Order: sequence, then C-alpha cells, then structure tokens
Amino acid sequence: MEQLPLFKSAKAFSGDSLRYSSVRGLLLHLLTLGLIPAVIIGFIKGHVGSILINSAGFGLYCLSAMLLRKGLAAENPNRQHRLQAPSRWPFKLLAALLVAVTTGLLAFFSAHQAIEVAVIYALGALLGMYLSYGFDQRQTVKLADAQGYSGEEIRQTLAAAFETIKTIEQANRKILNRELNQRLNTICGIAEGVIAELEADPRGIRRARKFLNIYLDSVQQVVEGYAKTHIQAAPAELEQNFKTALDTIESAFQEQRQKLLE
Amino acid sequence: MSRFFRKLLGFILLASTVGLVTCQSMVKAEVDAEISQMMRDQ
Repeated sequence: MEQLPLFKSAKAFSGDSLRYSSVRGLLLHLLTLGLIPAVIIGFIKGHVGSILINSAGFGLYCLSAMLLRKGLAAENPNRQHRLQAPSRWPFKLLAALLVAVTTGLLAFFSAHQAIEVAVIYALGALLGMYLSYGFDQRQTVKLADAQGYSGEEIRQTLAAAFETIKTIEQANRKILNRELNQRLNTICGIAEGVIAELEADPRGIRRARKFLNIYLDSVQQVVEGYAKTHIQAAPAELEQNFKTALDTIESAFQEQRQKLLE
Repeated sequence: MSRFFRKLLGFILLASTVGLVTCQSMVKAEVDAEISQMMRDQ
C-alpha cells in the first residue's frame, strides 16, 4: 500500500481552484488604480470633495470588478454548470451598468467634463464592457420529457447528482492515500458517465433514479465519514472495510451503467 | 467581427474611458487642490 506523506498545506489540484484564480476581469482593477493617488492627493491637500468622489468611484469600480468576476466564474462551460439553473442575478450586465454609471459620474463630478461628454464616457464604458466580456448567457440544457418525468425534473435530478459527485470529489481530496484516491476517481467517473448517458437519452431516468438519489448519497456519506476519520488516524481495519465498501460500490455502479446501456 | 478584434476594441474602449477618466480625476484632484490653496491664501 502506498501512503502519501501528511503535508497538511498541500492540496490536490482541482479545476475549481484554477477557475477562481483566473485573471479575467482584473483589467478593471488595473484601470482604476489611478483613483488611489487621486484620493491620496485629496488627503494631502485637504480637499474633502476629491477624497469623497474618488474613493466612492474606486469602491464602485471594485464592486463592478467583483460582480464581473462572479459572472465570468458562473460561465464555466462544464456539464455540471450547464445542468444547473442559471443565477438569478445577471452579474455581468450589472457590472457593465455599474462601470458605465461610475465612469459617467466621475467624468462629470471629478474630471469636470460637460454632461454630454460624461454621457459619452458612460456609453463608451458600457460598450467596452460588452465587447470585452459580453453579457450573461442565461441558458441551461433543455432535456426532453421521459418516463412520466418532465425535462425540468430530469435536469434537476441530474444537477443534484452532479452536486453529490462534486462533494465526493472534495472529500476524496482530503484522503491522503493514492490507491483510494484512484478508486474513488474511477467511481466518480462511472457516475458521471451514467449522468452523461441520461443527459443524451433520458429514457432510462426511471431506472436510474434510485442510483442517482440513494446510491450516490450513501457513497457521499461513506466517503465523507472516512475522510473525517482518516484525518485523525484510521486503523488498518477501518481502511480494509472502506476498501471492501469501495469494491461493492464500484461493481454496483458498473452494473447500473451496464443496465442503462442495455 | 472576429473574437480577437472584438476583445481588442473592447479593451481600447475601456482603456480610453475608464482609464482616461481615472487619470483625469487624478490630475484634476491636484489642480483643484492647488486652486483651493490659492483661494485660501488670497
């Protein structure tokens, strides 16, 4: 058995971490850096108006950048995201409008431009945001009705199953044992395969509901329980029991997938 | 319009509006402060 050393700070790579550390949307932060010296000058010279206007502008730009990055993160085109219901808030549109309003207000109040020029600045910023980042694409996968279930019910079931798989993968990252990690990855791969097949052809949904609702939840509980115990110190017997459970789960998942293919 | 040119145009527009307005704000902050100082001195 191959045991990994216990480096508490080391984390397994996941696509999620890459998604959140993306540089997209940082341009706004860069472009607004000029407001910081403007606020500092206001402080040095004791000009209250300049301090208030420029710090408010900087705050609004930062808020826009946060909204924009949230909107960009929600656009991840993986299958789980396509199955999820779109966000209630159009983050990218809100960010673009906020940038436009802030630019117009700063042009008028801080840069002392005429109102017409300030409006042109605002429209230019809005167009720039649209061309650079686009607006929100609020669309999900449309699934056909099957076996007495509506397409929306099937989509919700598959999205919930994907959420459970994600939780299992998170728990798997806490388990510092390469062999167990690989076996759990295989199990998650089979489950994702079942979901992909149901997405392509939802006629097997009635047969697969038990698998998606009960089996996956049970696996989640078992894996999360083991991940917690494993951090403290897992006795060899517990590890063996877990391996046996993984064997059973893997064969049950394979069987389920085979039934769907028939 | 290709994706690249669209992004480039978006970048130019953002840089020339948001970037310019922040730079102007910085310059005006300096000028305004000097005008206020002159008025106080008078």
